[in-house]
Amino acid sequence: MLRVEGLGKRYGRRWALRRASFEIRKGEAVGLLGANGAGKSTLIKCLLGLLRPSEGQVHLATEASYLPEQPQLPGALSPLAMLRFKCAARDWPREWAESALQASGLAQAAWERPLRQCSKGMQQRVLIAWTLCGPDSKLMLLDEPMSGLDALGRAEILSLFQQRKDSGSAILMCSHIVPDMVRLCDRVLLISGGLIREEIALSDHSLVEAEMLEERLVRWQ
Amino acid sequence: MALSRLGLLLLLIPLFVWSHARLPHGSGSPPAPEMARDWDQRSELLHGMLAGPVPGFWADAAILQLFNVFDAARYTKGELRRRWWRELAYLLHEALSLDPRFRDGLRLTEGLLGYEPGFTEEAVDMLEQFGPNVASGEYLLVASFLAHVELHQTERALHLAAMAADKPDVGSLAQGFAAKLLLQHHGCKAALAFLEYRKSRMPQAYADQLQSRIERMRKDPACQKEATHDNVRPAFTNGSEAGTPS
Amino acid sequence: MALMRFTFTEVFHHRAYQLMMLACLLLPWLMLVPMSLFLLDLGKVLADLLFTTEHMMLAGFVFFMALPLMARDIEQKVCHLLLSVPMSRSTYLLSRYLGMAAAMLPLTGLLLLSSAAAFVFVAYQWPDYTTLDLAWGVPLGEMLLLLPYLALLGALFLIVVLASGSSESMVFLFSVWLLSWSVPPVLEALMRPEVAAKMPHGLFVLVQALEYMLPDLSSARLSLDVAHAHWPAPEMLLAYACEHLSYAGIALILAMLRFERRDLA
Repeated sequence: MLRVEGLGKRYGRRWALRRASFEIRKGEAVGLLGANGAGKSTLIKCLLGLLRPSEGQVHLATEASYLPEQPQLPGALSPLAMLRFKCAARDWPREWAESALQASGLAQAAWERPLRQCSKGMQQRVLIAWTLCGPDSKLMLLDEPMSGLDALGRAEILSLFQQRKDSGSAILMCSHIVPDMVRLCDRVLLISGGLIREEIALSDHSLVEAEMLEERLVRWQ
Repeated sequence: MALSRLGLLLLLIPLFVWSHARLPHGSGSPPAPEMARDWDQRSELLHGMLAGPVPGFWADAAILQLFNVFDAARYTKGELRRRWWRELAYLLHEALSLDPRFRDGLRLTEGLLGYEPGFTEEAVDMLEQFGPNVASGEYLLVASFLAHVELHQTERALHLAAMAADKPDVGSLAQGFAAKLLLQHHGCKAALAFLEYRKSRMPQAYADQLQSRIERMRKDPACQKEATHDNVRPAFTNGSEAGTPS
Repeated sequence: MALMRFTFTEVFHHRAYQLMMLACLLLPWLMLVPMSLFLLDLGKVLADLLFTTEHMMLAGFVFFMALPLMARDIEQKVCHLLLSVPMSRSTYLLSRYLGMAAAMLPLTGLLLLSSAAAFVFVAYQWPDYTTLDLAWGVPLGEMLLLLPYLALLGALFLIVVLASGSSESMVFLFSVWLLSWSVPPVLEALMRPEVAAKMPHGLFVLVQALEYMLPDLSSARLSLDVAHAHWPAPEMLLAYACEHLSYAGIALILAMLRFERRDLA
């Protein structure tokens, strides 16, 4: 679904990302793990074309949806209005908006409430609904998707992403929360100083793997 | 806690009302001008810049301010009065330069500035400059009257009267005044020439009144005497395009 | 089209916008109070007040609704969401522009209707001091005054995509607005033949270039003519409309060209 070859981004003389190459297949979840400023968001933005890559190529063979890290949502609009806009822009059935909101776990009472009146957690669910809205099989690029959610909410959302993965969607998720990443992802790309240092395959999604990942992360700091 | 806040609130409200009532808040009287402002090209440019795309509104604001200035100027004397009237003239210049067709500005120029000693000439200048911009000839007529009666500038009065008589709404008053001025200062022939000229530029249906005035003037003994001597150079000819005395 | 509707809805749901609509409805009637203080030109004064109100409303819209919305879009990553729909950056900018321009229409429309009604009232109440012609002339003038603000909105889009943030955008837009407001009389004075003859040629060219670069907000002559019930010639109106719309188009195309190449960090 996605193939990245030697992707790099330079700001002046400083490289924020260099020689990133990887592939994501259908039904696969890949984690991007790194400290702040490691180049995770830069990589995702380069994939979407929000940043113009200084080198390399991106081959995207499917629909991609994006969940940015903590954007400010249009406060005057309701979650339903936002999702309906997405459906209208793509000529998708209006019902997909309701389905996505339903799937995100946002209480129905909040669907028509102005977003400025929604809590941070609710707004995060709206963003997740925004990402989910659309055809089942696609690539989801998630930048800190669990931000603002409590433990229960995170578990819910993780199982939702798991379902999407099972139904053929591919996921690229960057997060600081290692246990979440371990639960969802099949592989993790460890990124530091703009370089992908390691690609680690996860097999049993256990706490032991989470500890191992944290150790590796500390090593690359 | 809630009670003390309420108590404080009850104390602060009367305090605010008391202090507010004792401070001057837009009492309508502007401060007396420290020095007289003269209208010049720089002032015109400055007010043009401030007014931007809303010169009409700026002109209206100048007229509103003028009401306050006039209110303050009325009861003063000496140098202060002169400064107030200088300020008033400045505001009129401002209003008329921003909106040259503003009739309120013209009316106040002739009605206020025109009768203040020392400012009549300035008022006549303004009326002469801006009066032609409006359809009505009444401001030019008043300017002519002021030039004749207050400034004793007969030639200028004649010129202004002729301009007024050239306006589409010209009334018998303007024509009569102009003809009378010509009669007094240039003689019957000039006055008759003026009236004939006016008649020639008027539709037949409206010319009857002028015709009767011409006939009355011809029968006037002074005119008959002048016709006999015929020693007066005509002051107004049909050849004058703008209706100005030659 | 979907983003245009989305933008319109977004603006429409703002309380500030709803208050502006209410103000547009009420202000023409409140303006009758200052109007009644004048002596002769009551209709002209009311027209001046209404034109000024419209300038304030539309400038308020551009500064306090359009600018924050666009700056927020870029700074707070809303455009990341919208572009991920996906849509091209040009479509995004154009739709946002059209949505905001469409949001100016109800403001102008309400002001226009209320003004027409107020003028009919004034014409019947004080028939000697105004003309009924202004009841349609002033609304027509108000429609024409919308055009410079479409140009200013185009300039805003160019500024927002060039600037690094909302503060910078505000400073630049304010500077452009201020220059557009106050410079035309200076330029006009500088371009008088007697002044131009004394000016160095280079400076004269610079002054002319500046006049072309700024959005022409100085609809001063048009406002004055309409307020005095002098209707501008059709070819002048056509030139006026073409000038503003083409300025808006040029600014928007330049904004698109820059936005296409810009990193959205």
